[in-house]
Amino acid sequence: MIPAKNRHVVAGGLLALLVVLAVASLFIGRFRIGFTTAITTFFSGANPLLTAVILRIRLPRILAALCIGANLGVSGAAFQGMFRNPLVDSRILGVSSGAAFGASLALFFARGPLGVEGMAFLFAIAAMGLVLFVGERFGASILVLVVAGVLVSAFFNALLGLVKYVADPLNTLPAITYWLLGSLNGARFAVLWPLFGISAVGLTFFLLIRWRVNLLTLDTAEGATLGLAVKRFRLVVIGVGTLLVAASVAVSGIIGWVGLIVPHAARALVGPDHARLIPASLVLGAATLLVLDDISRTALTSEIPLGILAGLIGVPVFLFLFMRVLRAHGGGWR
Amino acid sequence: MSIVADHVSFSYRHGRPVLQAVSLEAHDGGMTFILGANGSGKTTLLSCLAGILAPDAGMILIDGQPLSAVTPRMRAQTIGFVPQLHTPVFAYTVWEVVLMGRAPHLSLLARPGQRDRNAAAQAIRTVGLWRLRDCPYTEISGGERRLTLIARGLTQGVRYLLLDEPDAHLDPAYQHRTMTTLAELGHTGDVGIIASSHQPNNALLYADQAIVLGTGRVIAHGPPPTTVVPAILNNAYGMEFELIASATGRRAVVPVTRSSKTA
Repeated sequence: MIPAKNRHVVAGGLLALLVVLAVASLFIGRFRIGFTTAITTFFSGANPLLTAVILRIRLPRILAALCIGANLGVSGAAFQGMFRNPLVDSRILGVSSGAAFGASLALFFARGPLGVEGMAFLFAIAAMGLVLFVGERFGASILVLVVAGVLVSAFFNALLGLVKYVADPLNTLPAITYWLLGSLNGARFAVLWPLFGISAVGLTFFLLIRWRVNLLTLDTAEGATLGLAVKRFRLVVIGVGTLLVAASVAVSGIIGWVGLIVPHAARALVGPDHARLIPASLVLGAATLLVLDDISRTALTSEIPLGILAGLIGVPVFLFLFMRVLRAHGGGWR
Repeated sequence: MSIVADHVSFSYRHGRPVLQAVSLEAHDGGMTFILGANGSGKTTLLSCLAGILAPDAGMILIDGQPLSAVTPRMRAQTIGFVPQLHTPVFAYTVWEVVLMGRAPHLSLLARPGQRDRNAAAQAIRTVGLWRLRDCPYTEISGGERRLTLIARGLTQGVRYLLLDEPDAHLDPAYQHRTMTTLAELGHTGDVGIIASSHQPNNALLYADQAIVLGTGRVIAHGPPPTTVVPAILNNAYGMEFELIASATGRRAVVPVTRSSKTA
């Protein structure tokens, strides 16, 4: 963990690093032109094709990666805290399964990218609605919410299985499979405005309430004696958190472990206090997905799906970096 | 200024009644002990007083106002609750745990400011944990954790502090330290202390008032020298006690054993 007196420096440094990474990402890609040449050419405006690629293809994609990474990191951190469980990530409440079913349905009926995004979002929200409804009705205890999430998830997975089972194995099935592996291939400004809007509102919400999330990690009764309307606050946090996830997966497809590992890494860096953990998860999540997507679109001649890349690169990196921290002082957990 | 339970009854779902028409009064200042056997309703009574549980019948009055009519936030500014020893899932520092006590004074979107940090610092100094303020709460001793939670209660700026067995699981030195800290708060800080306990002698040593519960009913209510006596304790715990007194007049109750019978 970083000592208290160095925290501001480290926070500033991380943020600066993120900005540098994001800007640098504009100038790398499969367009055959060197990194430094790309920069000079872009600013001289000598190559209109390069300018178009950077502004219309890379810029929206980079912004989407930043938003989605931040969303998954922040919602993962809030959910791990609220459910007091290190295995929880942004998918715990069945949102991703809902989104997967929605997207598969749109692909099955051969809708365009906006249709896929819209259906994915719609069914992610339906899954969230089901969990919130059950939570509201049965007291919103952690147990009720987790079980509801797992059940809703299982239900939508079954529906997804059904669509895959009847889908055309030559065209539709591969499209569904590819969507499920996650990619930012289709990120264009035209389909990204909902993501940007929801991310701006949701992330601002979490930044504002970040200290109070600490109270959700206490026993329900304990939170109540500290003046918290526990049930209502829990449902609001779930609502906004899953909204962030829904808007993200609707664009990117399923990207598994970012929402799980990023909060752990952030906690190892800044400790368990959510006043620091949530901003740290935001920056670290954004940086992680940005780097992964850079690799995804440049490493091979054809794109590597983000979900695969996340598992192949991210998991070993975090295993070796953070197992040491976890062993040393629990990484912020008891 | 007082906290009053007026004929409070409570039963858990499908259960026998845990509290039956319990009435008591405690003032902001001084220390009240709640004694009684396991299952006699001490924790349930505290939970009702803290507003965690709502009584089935009767009412809790806080400074004359029904507790059920007070918002959770206002309640948390008036009544603090120190749960039995617990370990949170996350390794918050002592400072972070204590600072959480400021929650009822902050709006939903606010984070603690200088005033809140001052309140937390003062509370941590009051319980004598300043040295440990940056230690993970999960790595300090049980006694220190108890004091941390008391400091969190004080940080809430409450007039009544309810404690569920603050002397449990502590060695004699920590029991004494915790109890004298609480007694001092009760006498000098205008905070009313209400503590459940399994230590009748701590009531004799530190409390101004004791309430003895027997299966959900108040069987004695008054100053410890009149309530913490063998006749009442025998009834409450279903065993025999005897009172012993030192030359200086200090008293203690001990179980009657074979050796004391033959003596």
